[in-house]
Amino acid sequence: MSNNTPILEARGLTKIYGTGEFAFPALRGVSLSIASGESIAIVGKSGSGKSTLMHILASLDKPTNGAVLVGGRDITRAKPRLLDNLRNKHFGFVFQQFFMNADNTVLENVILPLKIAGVGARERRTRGLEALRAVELLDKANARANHLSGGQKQRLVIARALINNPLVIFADEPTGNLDSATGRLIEDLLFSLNQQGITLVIVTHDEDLSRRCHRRLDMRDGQLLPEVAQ
Amino acid sequence: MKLFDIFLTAAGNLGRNKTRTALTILAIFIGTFTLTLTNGVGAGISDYIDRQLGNVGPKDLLIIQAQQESQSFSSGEAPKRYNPSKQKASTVAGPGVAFNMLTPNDLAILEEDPDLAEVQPYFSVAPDYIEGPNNHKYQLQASLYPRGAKLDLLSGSQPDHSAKDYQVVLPVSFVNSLGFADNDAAVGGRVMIGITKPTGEVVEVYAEVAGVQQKTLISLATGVGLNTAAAQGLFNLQTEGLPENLAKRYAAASAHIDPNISSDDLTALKQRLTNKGYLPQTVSDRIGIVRQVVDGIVVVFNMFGLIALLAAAFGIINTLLMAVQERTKEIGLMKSMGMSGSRIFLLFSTEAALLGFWGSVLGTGAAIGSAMIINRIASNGFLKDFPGLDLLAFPITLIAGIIAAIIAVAFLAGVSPAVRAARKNPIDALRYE
Ligand SMILES: Nc1ncnc2c1ncn2[C@@H]1O[C@H](COP(=O)(O)OP(=O)(O)OP(=O)(O)O)[C@@H](O)[C@H]1O
Ligand SMILES: [Mg+2]
Repeated sequence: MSNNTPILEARGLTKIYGTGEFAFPALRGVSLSIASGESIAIVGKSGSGKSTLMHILASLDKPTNGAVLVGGRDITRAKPRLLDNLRNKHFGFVFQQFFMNADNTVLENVILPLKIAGVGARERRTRGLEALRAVELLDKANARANHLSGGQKQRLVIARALINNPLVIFADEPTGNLDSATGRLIEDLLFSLNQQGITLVIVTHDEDLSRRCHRRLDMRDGQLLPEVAQ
Repeated sequence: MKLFDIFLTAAGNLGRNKTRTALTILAIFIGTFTLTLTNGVGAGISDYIDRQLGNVGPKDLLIIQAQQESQSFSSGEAPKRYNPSKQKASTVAGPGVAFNMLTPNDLAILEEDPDLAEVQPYFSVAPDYIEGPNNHKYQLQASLYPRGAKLDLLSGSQPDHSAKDYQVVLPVSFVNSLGFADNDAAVGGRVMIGITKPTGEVVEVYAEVAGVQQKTLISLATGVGLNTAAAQGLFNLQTEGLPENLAKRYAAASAHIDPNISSDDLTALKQRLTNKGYLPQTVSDRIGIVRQVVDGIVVVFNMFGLIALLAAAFGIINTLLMAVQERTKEIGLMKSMGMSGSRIFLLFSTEAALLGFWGSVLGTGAAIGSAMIINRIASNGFLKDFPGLDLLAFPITLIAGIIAAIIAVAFLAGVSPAVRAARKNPIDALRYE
């Protein structure tokens, strides 16, 4: 992958939910290109198609038409195994609802991607503790995930997203469930990862957060508005 | 995910909803318990039957009767033509039935067969009473024990069929009633047998007690056992003075065959005898009926066990479907992190198999435990007279087979929920509230 190949590229994406009478076009021709190391904010009104776009970029969902390229490679018709591997090794996810196994410990939650990858127990532990240190949650490693505060939970999720040294972290409303001070801490954490070279794709309503990104993509009714330089 | 991690995760997931897991395991437990006990009874009894074969007679014994024609005197069938040359057996008719007996002529025919040795008529006797040292008379059923039969004796020895004097083997229940102090005192003692001659005169003969026999479940002979001399002597008294054609009538004959006879040769021999108008049966033919009855009972009981297991299988399906539903987000999360559908499938089917494993291990364990208690109670109670009979037996292959079968059933029950989990779309899961 040469430096000027975009890490993510979308060409003419459309997504139609439902069929016939109930067909609803959530994406109506979206093209974009994201360079490695960039931070991108996707903003827009509720229902404008931000999450839909992010899911398709992250290979969690298929577009009705168009193509997604990761590092120059078209993954639209790739085999599930390749996509599983791509998400497992190169993508990290942060969601508005934290999505964790509440009964498990913090450490067990954080190492889940490594477990899925088939990494051995000892290495999982070392890397898990390392990731927890990075989000300053080391002292909670053996606590039950459910006992964490909202901000701690989101830090857990970020530790889980960065444990596999991903190329891209996708975050859907990462601060949506947090108070503004805690939200600020999470933002700082994400941007420090960005500084280390991880590409960020963040869906957000938060003006401040979007302003801190390199670029901001405005969505309206399933389409991108012309970009304005930040 | 490594298989080992899948296994650990599945085992851990079982602990997440403990009540539900426990109830599902309980359902499997009940089915397994029933199935194990009924099969244990089957195995215990056939084991006993095998050991009892010795009581019945050696494997090389062939018992031959005349074929019973299906001529019913009440059916209004036209009578069959009399043919003196074809008539092999003489017929004794009772109310509504007829029984064909063997004649000396039949014995001669059987003796000519190269595969039969030591053809002996079976002397059926109907003595009136038996009397011991205390001079009380008791009703008596006595019968000739087949040569070579190994009776299960508590004391004494097997009846001597070549002896000239009359010998009897007493069932253990006779010992005290006849006035013997104990089993050992009875051996060598004398009993008197009373029998009515055709003239109506009652005569008494003495016999020596050769042995005391353990109570048995199955035997070809009933009551007091007689050696050949005793049986023949009583038979002669019983038929004394009768014309030859009435006296020499035998219910059956026994013959020895080569113990190493191949099953093809045995089949051929039996066919040959059948064609000549006889009904030959080996010991295992006769015992086979008992075994079929036992097997039949076991099958019926197994039906109950299987029905319980069927209900348990639906319990497993239900439990896992609920788990899949509850864990929609978790499944979506794992899939979004790159866990493949096949691994998700494996995770849930492992959970199902583990439910089956715990249910079946606990079920078989409890069955074995209660069998030990039941065996002890039974052998001190209603099976007291049958030492050596374990009501329940559990060959290791039986237990392993049951556990394996139930794990397989549980796995199959888990297939549909596991497929459902594997097919979950990560997006639906992430959007699921
Ligand atoms: N599975 C689906 N079936 C039908 N319509 C759907 C489905 N998923 C999303 N939509 C519709 O597609 C549109 C875009 O949804 P999407 O979740 O991408 O919006 P969003 O921009 O992320 O909104 P928000 O800011 O509220 O999260 C919405 O109108 C939504 O109702
Ligand atoms: Mg959204």
